Amino acid sequence: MFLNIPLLSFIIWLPIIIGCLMLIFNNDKKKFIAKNFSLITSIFSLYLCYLLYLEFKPGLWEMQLLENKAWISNLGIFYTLGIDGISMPLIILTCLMTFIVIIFSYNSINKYVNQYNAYFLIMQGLVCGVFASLDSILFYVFFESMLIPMFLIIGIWGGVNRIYATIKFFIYTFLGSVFFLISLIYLHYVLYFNSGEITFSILKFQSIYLSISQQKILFWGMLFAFAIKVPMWPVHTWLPDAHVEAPTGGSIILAAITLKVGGYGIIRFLLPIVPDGCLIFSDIIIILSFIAIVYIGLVAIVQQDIKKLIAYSSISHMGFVTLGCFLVFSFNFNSEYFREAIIGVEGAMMQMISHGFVSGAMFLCVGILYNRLHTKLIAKYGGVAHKMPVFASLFMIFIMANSGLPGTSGFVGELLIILTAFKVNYLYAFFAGLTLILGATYNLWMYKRVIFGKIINSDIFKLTDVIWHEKYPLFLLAFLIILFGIWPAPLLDLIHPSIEHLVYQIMQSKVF
Amino acid sequence: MYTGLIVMLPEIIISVMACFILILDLFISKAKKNIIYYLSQITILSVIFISFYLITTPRCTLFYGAFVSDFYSVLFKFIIAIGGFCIFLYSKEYLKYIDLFKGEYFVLCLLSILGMMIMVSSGTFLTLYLGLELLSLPLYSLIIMNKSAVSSEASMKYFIMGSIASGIFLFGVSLVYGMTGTIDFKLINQIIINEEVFSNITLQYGLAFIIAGLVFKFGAVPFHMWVPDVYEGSPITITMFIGTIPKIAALGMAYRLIIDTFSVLNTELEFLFITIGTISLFLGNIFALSQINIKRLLGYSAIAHVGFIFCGLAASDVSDFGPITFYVSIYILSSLGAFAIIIALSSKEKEANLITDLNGLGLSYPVMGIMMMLFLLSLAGIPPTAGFFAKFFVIKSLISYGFFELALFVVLMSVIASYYYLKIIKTMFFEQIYTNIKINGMSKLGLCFILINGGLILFIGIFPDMFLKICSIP
Repeated sequence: MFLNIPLLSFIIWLPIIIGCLMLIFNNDKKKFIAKNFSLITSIFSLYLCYLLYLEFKPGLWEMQLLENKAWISNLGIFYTLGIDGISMPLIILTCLMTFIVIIFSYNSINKYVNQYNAYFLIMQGLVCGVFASLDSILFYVFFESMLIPMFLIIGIWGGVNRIYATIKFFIYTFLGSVFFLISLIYLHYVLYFNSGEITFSILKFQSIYLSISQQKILFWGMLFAFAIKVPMWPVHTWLPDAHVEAPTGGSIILAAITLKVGGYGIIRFLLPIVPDGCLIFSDIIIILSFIAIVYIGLVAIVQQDIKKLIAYSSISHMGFVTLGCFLVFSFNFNSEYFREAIIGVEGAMMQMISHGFVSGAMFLCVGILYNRLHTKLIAKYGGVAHKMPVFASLFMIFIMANSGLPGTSGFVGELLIILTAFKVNYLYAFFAGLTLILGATYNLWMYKRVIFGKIINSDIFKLTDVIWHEKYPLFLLAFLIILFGIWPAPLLDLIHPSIEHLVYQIMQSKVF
Repeated sequence: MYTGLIVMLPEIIISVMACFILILDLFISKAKKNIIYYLSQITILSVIFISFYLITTPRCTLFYGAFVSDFYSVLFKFIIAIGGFCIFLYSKEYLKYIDLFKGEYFVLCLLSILGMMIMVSSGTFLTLYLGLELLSLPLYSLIIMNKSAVSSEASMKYFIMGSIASGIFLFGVSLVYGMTGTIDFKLINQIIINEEVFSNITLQYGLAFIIAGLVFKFGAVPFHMWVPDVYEGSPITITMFIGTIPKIAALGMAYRLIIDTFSVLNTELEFLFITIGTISLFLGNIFALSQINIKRLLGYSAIAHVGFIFCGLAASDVSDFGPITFYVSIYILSSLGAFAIIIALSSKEKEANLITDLNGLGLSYPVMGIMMMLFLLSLAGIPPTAGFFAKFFVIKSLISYGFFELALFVVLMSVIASYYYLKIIKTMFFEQIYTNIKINGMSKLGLCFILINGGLILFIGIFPDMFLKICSIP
């Protein structure tokens, strides 16, 4: 029915254009127009996502809904869009989380409302562009442009130390991505000298033959960009700062979406383009992932600030994503373990989507508390359950999902990855399993101190329970978390064919 | 059809009009000085149109090879004329404030533009030197026109250093003349190829001195000391003039020297250019980090950009001059916008030359704030602005020439550079508003042009294809 409309372009450009238009109007007197307008745009984007879901044919690994136009024709750069089972759920996640952020901002943002909503809409379009682009330069342009709205969101609406945090965030990410750019140009020339083809297409890059030494260089060049975005252990320090200073909406988008761009980049670029490089360095990455899971988990326990705690728990959970991706290489290209390898990568994918819901919901909860009490310190809370029972019970669901309790979506990804880890090495499985204990420790301990106990701080008495624009996003997220926790099949079916093809691609050496 | 003097019509028009305006100025009362302004603008506009029509003419020479008209010379003239038009437009209102709205001002600017045009279409060293001096001499007096102590210092510094650089340049020319017996670019090229004097040490010395002249004009290390002082000491409108279009004239000079004259000495030049380029990039960026004066900051960032241009020149040849031309044009376009916004924020009492003077721009005037942000991001080379593709094309040609480490160095430097541009954005958007900011240094038309300028930066950033084609030889 809608086959003639370039649906992906619509999803990308509609929010960007509307966002840019909204930037022109700088009038805080007509806040409600801005709010309603952005809400309508966001609902319309969700409707477009629904159409996307209908158009998408599950069971195929090929790229679908392709769009291809000349962009910089002399240099072989095309405006190529397309989605497969890996990118489709992430696009829907992006639109959904932006919708939630815009609803939540209804009462919580009071200055420069137009700009706030506009930047989120622009951000949404750009992130969808990242997930949908099949040309590496197009990917890079979206990947970098994404920094600007986030930079402004943290800088304008952030906390006390926002300027330090936002500049650190920007420069860290920019540093990583320039190496990625060099790697892309290098790949372009390798392809040109091999086959004489002038192209920047990601799919062409995936099928190109590379020598071991080339793969080693490219591995680090590309990993650096995505490791900072994910973020992996030694380069994670921008994340807690950015999260603590960002406004609630910024934190939600940062945790739920931008971190996924890193994971998506690893799956889309790193694994299929340089499998031998990944094989050589997979042990290092797996060790770094374990450091992220265990050490950062321990760091999370001792945090005084709720947001910082969730930020560290994000790093710990994203460690699972990198672990799931790189466990594949422990099978040494042995096709007997094909099935386990698929399970590992699927686990990483599930973990990403589930973490999108869970971390978004957790930051939303912190935002709700912060709007009332204007503090994020755990010690200032206690006994919130007496005053906010609905909130407390919803928060409990997210806490459980964050610690990976069976029945929530957090469990599915972790289980799949731990299963694969068992096939590789019992020790790996043991370390991976530690997360269940550590996660439960920091989550439940924080929950206990914030929600239960006696009311010590007199401000707590004044708390009121969640109102509609806080309640419905939370209900929606809780529903999704439980839905995918007990019935992950629809999601797994969606991503399975693409992952299977991907693993088939990465389970063979590319050296000729 | 396009033979004879018609190819040098732009130069003829400007020189005639400059003389005419100079005389006319004597008979015009102070209240009617607007006439002078409009006449200069008409001159420049006609040059824009003429060079637009000349761009398809084949290569031809005049005056026994002293004057060359080819694709790049016409293109550079076109860009210079557009730049000159924008500069006059942006500075009009502000010149009235600082009492510089005089006939001499426009005449001197026109003469300087004439020098640039002669430079980019020179066919011999003599014409090149003529253009170089005609470009510089009006600038020395323009800087000092407001008669303040800082300007005098800046002008003096610029004048003395410029004279020394000219002397060095002439010395190099004399060495080359001594070895080849001619000052014609094409003939020198022929002689170097035929008589195989590549490794002649005297010729290489001469070349080094000539390059020193070029480096001074660009303002790259080691001849960069004048840049920050002159940028800071000049009135902002002159800073805008010095900081933008002479760069394209210097690029034209580089084109004449590298492509026309010394194309066979590429390996020697490559080493020289990469050394100059890397050091300029490094020093320019490091010094810019700690600046609080925005004019000085842009001066150091100009040194860094010039370093980048030199790195790109190492990877350019006649068929591949498009990326570097694109880069310089985008650099000019972005800095024009940035300077224009500083002018717009200046008032009669005070130039907005500190970074803190931009405080609150992003929130009080969001459109202007976003425009300034676009210009700065374009200078930093971050998509979706045109600056990204300008950098991208040059880096791509660097890698295609095998300069892999150089490309890595260049992008690392651009990360450092992003910090000081972000610092300005931070002041505009993030800090508490403590000053009452006002846009009163510019007319409505000027503000419209800032919007067009910013829109162009964004447009080229999204559709760079057409502009790259314009900048590449057809």
